[in-house]
Amino acid sequence: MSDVLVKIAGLTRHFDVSKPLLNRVLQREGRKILTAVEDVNFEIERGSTYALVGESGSGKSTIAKMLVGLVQPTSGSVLIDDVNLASASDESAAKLRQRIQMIFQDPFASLNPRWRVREIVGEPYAAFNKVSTAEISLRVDELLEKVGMSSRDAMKYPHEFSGGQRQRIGIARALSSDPEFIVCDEPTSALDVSVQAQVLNLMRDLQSSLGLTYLFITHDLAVVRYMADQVGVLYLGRLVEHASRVALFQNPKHPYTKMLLDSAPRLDGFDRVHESNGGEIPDPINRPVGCHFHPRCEHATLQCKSTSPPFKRDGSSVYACYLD
Amino acid sequence: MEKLNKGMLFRIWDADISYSLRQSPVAIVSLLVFLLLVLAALFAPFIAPYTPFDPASLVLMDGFTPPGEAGFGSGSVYVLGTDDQGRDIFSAILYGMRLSLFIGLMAVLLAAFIGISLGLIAGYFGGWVDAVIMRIADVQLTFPSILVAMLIFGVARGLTPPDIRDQMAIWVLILSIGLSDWVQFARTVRSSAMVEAKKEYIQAARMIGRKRRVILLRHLLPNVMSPVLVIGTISLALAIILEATLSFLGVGAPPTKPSLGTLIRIGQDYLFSGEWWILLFPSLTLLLLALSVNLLGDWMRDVLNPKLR
Amino acid sequence: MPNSSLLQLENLVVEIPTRRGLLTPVNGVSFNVNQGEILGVVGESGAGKSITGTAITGLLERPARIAGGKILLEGKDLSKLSNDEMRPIRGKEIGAIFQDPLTSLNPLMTVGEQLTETALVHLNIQRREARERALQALIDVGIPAAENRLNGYPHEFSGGMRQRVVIALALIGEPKLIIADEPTTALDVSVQAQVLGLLRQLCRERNTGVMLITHDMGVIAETTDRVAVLYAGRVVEIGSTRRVLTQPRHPYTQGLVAATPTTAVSSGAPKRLNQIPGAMPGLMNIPDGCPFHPRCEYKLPACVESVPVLRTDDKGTLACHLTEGVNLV
Repeated sequence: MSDVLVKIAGLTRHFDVSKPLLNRVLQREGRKILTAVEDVNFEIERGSTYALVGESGSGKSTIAKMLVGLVQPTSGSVLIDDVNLASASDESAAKLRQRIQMIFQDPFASLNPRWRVREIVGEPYAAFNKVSTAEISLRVDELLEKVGMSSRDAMKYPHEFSGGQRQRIGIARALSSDPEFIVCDEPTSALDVSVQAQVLNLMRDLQSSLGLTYLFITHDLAVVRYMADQVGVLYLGRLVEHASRVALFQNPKHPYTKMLLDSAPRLDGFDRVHESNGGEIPDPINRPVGCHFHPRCEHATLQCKSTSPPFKRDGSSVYACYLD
Repeated sequence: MEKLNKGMLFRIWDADISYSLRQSPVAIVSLLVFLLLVLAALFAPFIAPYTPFDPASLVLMDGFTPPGEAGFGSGSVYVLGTDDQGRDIFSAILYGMRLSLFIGLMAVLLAAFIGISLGLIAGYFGGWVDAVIMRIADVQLTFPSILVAMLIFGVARGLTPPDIRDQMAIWVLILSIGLSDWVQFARTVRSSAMVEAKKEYIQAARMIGRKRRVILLRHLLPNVMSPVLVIGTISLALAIILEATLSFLGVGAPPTKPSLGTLIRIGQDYLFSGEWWILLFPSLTLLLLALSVNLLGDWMRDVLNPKLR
Repeated sequence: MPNSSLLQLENLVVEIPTRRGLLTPVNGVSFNVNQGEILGVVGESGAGKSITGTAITGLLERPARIAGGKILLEGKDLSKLSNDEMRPIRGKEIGAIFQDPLTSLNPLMTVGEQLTETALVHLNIQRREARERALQALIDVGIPAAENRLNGYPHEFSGGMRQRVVIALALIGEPKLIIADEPTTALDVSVQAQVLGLLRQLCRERNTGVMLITHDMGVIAETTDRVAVLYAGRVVEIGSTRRVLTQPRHPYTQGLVAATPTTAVSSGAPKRLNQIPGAMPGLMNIPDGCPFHPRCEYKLPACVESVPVLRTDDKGTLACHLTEGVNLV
């Protein structure tokens, strides 16, 4: 039935943020380990969009970087079409890289300010194929048209464009090597609402016409509702809930998911009173013991405070909570 | 073709930096003085009335001629006078400036090359590579550049056979000044590189598996170059002064091929015996040269500073 | 309920002379903020909403300057005042909350000191009373263990707590008007709701008027009473928040509302987001006539020729040549 393109299993990443040795000796401090991602498991079906939702400290950016090979996992695996990027031979790794691409959050920092658009968009294509300059030029023109820009834009520099247009250039670059899987790291968070709508619509259209698979990372649940087929909710490095879009929005299971949905401002939320769920996200270096969410959860029991809850399944939802 | 040139010239005239230049009288004057001196040095063989470096053309009896007067021996007029050997001061200044500028420019290019390379590598790789490079830089900074230059000069001198020492002097000078000055290039490029290396366009390039060399040279380098122009200009002023100092101390350009510093050294000996012109004119020239370059560099730094815009 | 008009902007114009020409980021902006009411000022980036807030507090940086119109705070025209004359007004009559709490607070002074100093400057009280008010202010904004936190430095507070301190600082001088510029944009969503709720509650209690500048339509819906929509330096629509968001009359407002994704659950897959073609013009390229006309599907010949005037009728305030507004399909 399902055709799984991306499979993440036991994905974990630690960062050593200890002070230098001398400082530690003098101040008698131990090592400090930041667990950015802990034991994350999920699958993405070919041609679908998986949204990864989380706030600061959730680990979503680290997961994105591990998926494209910018950061190595401490343990666990990332399998793309059953090939493990981290352990692949140079040749298979190169082949795999061609099939994965990334769209970045910051339209100002994601394009080299000293390169022309043609060079930027053509780079992945040229890197993976032995092609002439003329062929690159043709491909760039084709890609620019696909994202709603014109071939005349190819010789300009990034600073001549608005944020929305730059994001389109970033999308054109991502399509350049003809990938199957695109990791989108908050691609519209820095854009205005009307421009965001254009970019999201463009991404959806491209998905259906090119058969792309997306991992869509965001903190905005409204965008998730518009784009996702499956949703995973991250909190302090752990995937606390994972469900189909419909199930997540109609019937959220985990208390954090419920809190997120409640907090998200709604266009029809006139005079809405939020459930006063106090507290903020704790320091990721000192995560609470047991269920990381327990200090902010009104239903927390002794069990929640001591051991990490196991995963439960309910229909298409999988969540980690002791409550029913 | 013509249309393109007109368009380009207009664009240069209309550019923000030209506009700022036109607003600042100091910058305009410095630029003009500097250009004048550079042109004079460049065309020295055509402008200079005498050839001061050719011992055969010197008339010893013409020595110590005051400015504007005729020499005892040959009767020819020397505009700025002559020194103890009968060398025309004016011509000597022109050729000396030529030497000073050449040495200064080459030294700055060498320092820039070393500094930018090390700065790029330190900024991009970080970790122990960065630590090692920066410690070397720190150690070097604890020594005054004169001492470093003298040290290198001495070592190089000791290694060269005596007969070509004078000819090699220029290259040794370039080497020693260049090696003493790379640190500020390295530091600035390193901090820019550190900032740029974290940006997403670098991640995008790494992601598609581009080689490190490509990322450093094609992606990173163009984006760290903007402060280099300013540092280079100020470095040029410092290099010129450093060269003059070394020559003055006798460890620079030899008397057979004197630079401005050497001329000053010669002139110093005769100041109190009344032949003031041998000291004054080379000193004034050096002052003008170093000052104009320095002021230009200062102005450029203010104009190109993105924070002040 | 809101009563008298606290802040009245009449045709405010802000100009920035540059080498390449005169930029007009605020081009005839008019709206009111009433006592005890929260007015939302919404627009996308470049619409001029932040500069409007900066102009009101008199903090425009050269060469930007107020070139026309009036800023009436309870009848007194602030646009004509010098910096020295504005200083006693800032903090005492107008409080400000900016986006980044890290730069709004002095990192070298404790939170208690900053609150105490502000209270001393603006209120006619002794130091002891100022200290008590500082403590009360922290309690009012919901900082737990407030007595201890008085001696904390800003970097020791989390993001949401810092922003609460900024709110406390803005309110301690007992101002009549608060200008809040994207106060929660840098905060996590779960904290955003708390901070906005706090702002609303405190201002209601003290009958303070609030001008809330944001680009987030959801925040507008949940926090504000009335809303003014800005586009390319002009006001295109003003009205009660509920009315403007459910029955927008200006084509831009309609487009903006339809382009905003929402978490509200309906049956089936979400409808395609409406997108407004093009983008807001840059300050150098503002077209003649109505600034929105190149992107407007209802464009009339009049729209290209003349700028529509802001008119108030029984349904609200609108600047559009389609005087009846747009019919919602």
